[in-house]
Amino acid sequence: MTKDTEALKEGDLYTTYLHLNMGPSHPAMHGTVRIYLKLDGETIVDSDVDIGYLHRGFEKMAESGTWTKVIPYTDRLNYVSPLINNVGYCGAVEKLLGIDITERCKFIRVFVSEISRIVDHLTAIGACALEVAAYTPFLWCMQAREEFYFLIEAITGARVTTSYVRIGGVRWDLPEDWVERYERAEKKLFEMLKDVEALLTRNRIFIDRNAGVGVMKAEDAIAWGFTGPCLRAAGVDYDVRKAQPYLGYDRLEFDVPVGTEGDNYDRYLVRLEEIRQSVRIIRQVIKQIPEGPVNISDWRIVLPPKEAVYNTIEGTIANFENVMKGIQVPKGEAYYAVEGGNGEVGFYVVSDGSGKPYRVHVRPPCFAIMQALSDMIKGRLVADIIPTFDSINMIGGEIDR
Amino acid sequence: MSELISEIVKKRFGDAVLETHQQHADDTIVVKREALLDVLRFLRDELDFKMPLDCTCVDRLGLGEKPQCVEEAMNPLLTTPESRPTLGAGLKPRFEVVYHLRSLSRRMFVRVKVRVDEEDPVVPSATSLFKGFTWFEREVYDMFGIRFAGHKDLRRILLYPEFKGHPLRKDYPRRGYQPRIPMPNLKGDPVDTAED
Amino acid sequence: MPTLKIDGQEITVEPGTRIIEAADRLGIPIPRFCYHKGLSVAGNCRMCLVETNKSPKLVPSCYEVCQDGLEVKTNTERVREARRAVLEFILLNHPVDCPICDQAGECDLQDLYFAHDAKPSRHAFKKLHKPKAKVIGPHVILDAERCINCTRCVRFCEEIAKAPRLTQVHRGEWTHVDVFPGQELDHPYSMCCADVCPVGALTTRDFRFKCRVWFLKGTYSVCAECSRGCAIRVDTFNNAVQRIVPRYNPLVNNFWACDEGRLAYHRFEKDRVNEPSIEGTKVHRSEAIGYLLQVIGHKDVVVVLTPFLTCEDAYIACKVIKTFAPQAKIVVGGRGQGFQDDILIRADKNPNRAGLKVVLAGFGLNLEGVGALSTLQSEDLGVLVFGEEHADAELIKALVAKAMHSAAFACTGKGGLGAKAVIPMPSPYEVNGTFINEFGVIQRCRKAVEPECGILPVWRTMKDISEAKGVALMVNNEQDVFEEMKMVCKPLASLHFSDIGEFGIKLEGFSVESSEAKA
Repeated sequence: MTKDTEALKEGDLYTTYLHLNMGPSHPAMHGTVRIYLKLDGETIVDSDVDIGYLHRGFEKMAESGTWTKVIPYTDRLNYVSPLINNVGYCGAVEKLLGIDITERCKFIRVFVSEISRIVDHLTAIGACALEVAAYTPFLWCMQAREEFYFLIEAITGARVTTSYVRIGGVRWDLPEDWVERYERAEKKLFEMLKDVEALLTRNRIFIDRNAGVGVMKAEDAIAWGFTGPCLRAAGVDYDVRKAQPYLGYDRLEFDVPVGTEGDNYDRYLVRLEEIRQSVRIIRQVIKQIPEGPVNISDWRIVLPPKEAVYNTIEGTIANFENVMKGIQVPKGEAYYAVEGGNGEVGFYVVSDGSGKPYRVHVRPPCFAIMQALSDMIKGRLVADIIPTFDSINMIGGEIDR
Repeated sequence: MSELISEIVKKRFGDAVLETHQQHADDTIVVKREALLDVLRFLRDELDFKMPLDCTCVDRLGLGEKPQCVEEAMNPLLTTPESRPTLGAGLKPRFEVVYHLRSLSRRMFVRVKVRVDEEDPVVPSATSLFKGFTWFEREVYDMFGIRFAGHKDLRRILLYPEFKGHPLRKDYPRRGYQPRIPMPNLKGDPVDTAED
Repeated sequence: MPTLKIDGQEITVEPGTRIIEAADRLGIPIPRFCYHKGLSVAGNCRMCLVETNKSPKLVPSCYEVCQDGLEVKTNTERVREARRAVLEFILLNHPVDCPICDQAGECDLQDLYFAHDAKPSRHAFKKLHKPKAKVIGPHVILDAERCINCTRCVRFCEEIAKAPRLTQVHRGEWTHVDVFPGQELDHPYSMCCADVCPVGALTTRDFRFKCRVWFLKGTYSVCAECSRGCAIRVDTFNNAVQRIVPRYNPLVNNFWACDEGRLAYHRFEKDRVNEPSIEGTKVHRSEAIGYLLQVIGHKDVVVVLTPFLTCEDAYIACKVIKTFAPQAKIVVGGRGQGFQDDILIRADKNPNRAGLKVVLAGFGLNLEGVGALSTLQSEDLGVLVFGEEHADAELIKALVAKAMHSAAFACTGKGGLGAKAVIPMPSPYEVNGTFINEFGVIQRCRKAVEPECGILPVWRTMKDISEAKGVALMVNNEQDVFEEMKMVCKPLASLHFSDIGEFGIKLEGFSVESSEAKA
């Protein structure tokens, strides 16, 4: 007899553990994750979280092209907030190059990062609601998100696969009417948020399903390597934008919402408040953004403007060499972290001195959080997996790369 | 902090620290394999680097001095035959396992590196000190083949268990073909005799 | 022996060494246009200017000779400014031709501009127009607008090719390179002018608009047109040879190669024999092997080797013949003597006669020509011919006509020489092996193009013959053949196949037919 039979209680019917597979193809397993459960009735005795179903070899592919060719791959990491990935990767390469980007470009990157963060949090909140069968707030969040997707499309040309940020700048300047478009999106956002909050925040069922579930206290969270809303919900005031400011975040005023219990409900509240803080940041950006060039003027890093490329030999040569040989990044290594929707997205890049990346490594925030999922659901019911898994907001592209 | 973390560690551990650098303002310490856990424990307990950020690996097979071009500069865009590799000579030891740790109170991170050879790719596991490196070390094992001694659950994480080889190594081709895995014969299935 | 410091690194050099050579040895790249190691020093591009402690002005490092106590700095702000200025002047009237220029991807101007300048243009006027796409020779075409007046081609024609066909014409910003009126760039090394040209001013007509260079895959190999065996690089794309470019080899050809060798690949582009045939009908390979067994089963067997075979092919062929037809008469055919000059071209138009001599000596045979067969009388004759270009083709055809069974290994449909069976043979760009040139330098010939699946190396076919007779040869690739061959052939005894390297090895104890070493 195996240790399964240790579960036998005296005088009860013969029983063993139930091994249940919440397979990768499952409506609740966002981004294809497999949780292999060992159940005693409905209680989870043990679980094995199995990822890797969306592994596409990002880090290997990054070594095969030039530095600029990696940017479309970064879109597909956290595909709900692709612009933050773009900003992170380009920031890492700029750190290796030792260059500083223009002021306007910094504000543009902050602007698009915050919009992406709002989109990410809206998706997460919507999914939180969806999983506990509150379909209406989910659709409202999606409606609000649509407005932001219109804004992102106007800026970058695409909703999800943005590839907007370049090494040394961004692809092109913001469109002329970007403030009006943003204000339209913001208006819709607040209308929706008011309704969503009204339906969810004091909702008995929502609180019952989420409060006290999936608890991760501060000490444990730090030991597991949590970052982002999951860490802040546990009570640790850590945000990369405040701890290691980048792109001029130190000149902007915003608060970092911190929870107390570290459960799903706190994570939901933290995300809700972060949306408001992002709006606050964006309003300051709109006021403070300076005029000026968006790209740096060094043609060894950014492509020359098309008039120069088509009409002068220097522009032609610079364009050709930049595209064919890639940006010659000096030898070295650098780690650059940005605050993503889920936490600290770190890019560790190593250069061998040529135009091809030698090693590009992404530190996905939800990778560290998912390793703790087993602990978070141990001893709880199967029904608690769904809201816990959702409040973590694991994005498959990010965790599997 | 007025004193660099790498200086503090170097003073404490002496010649267990092989080299330090601050490229791009990132504090980096390269330590000997035997001293790795001691250094990490020191950083965690006494210098308050409590958060495990990241654990990854770099295969240094393509680094090192590029072979000198003889006379007329060879066009680097053309591939060359086996007598002249385009990659560098390859640095030894081959693998460099990189740990990033973050300190919330000091608002900074530190990088600890340890180098191992491909004949003996074993590194003591940091999971005894930081729970948060569990999956990161599994991923390094999966992608590079580095074994972490003392890791309780060292198996592949991103790839399937029957995968042969370690794909992020520099000698694994970008298009690598894997052998087919036989379909498991589940009870009750008719036996599948047709091949493609 | 002066000792000098370049960028803080010390080096001791022979007297008379230029600073730029010393920097190359240290691995410090000094940009240059007009300096070329194989040509005289001109010093007119001013790109290699460096700062030294012995002169207040910047000094051209291609001209300055190393002195004791010299301290050279190659990366100060003054030097960088000078380089930017040189590039700006060159690019002032340079046409915006990169999208249509063949040199894109291997253009020194592109690479040096990106590495040292990358500043926008300050030119506000129309660019000057000069002769464009002017055919100046049978193999070279000139685009004078792209010329940067480095005079490498002028110096090459004068010093190396000994045929001064090019010169600089006009003056000021109209200066460019051109041929003399009524003359052409017609010496046999004209395509080397296109090689030395750092920009796309001189390009080869053979490669014009054929393929972009970044698609090309380069394979180091050996030219098979004459017994000089110049080191070449065969550039292929989509499994077809796109061009052949000479490679630096101080033992054989320095930097140069003649036009004929570079254009020889066209011969093997079409009309290939890719399946064995007996009396005109295509047969399966096993039948062809059976027929070959009949050929060597006669009382009198004649084998005509060709000096186009690599040493490995020749060795296995001789071994198999000697094992199963010990009475066979082995002779060596090949192309006849031709034009020879004292630069690179040799009279013997076969690549591996010396190699065959070494291989045959290993079997105790002397190298005999086809003429030795003129007195052959036989009733029971089998003839095996390798290769398709033979000077004594008539004699061979006559023998083939007399033979009961005859077989020929041929690359193209022109081969065969009337033999009843024709077996496919790979071209010199499809073989892996070694060639020994007339002066005793053994070089590796590498497979640049994958032949069609019916075309196997000659040694494989001979191995199949041996196996059909029941004797297995323990060789699986050319390296194994070489390791076996060197047991028998004394001059190769101390070599390893994989160590022959990109320059080849000069063999010891090798008698040279002529006393000249190289150009």
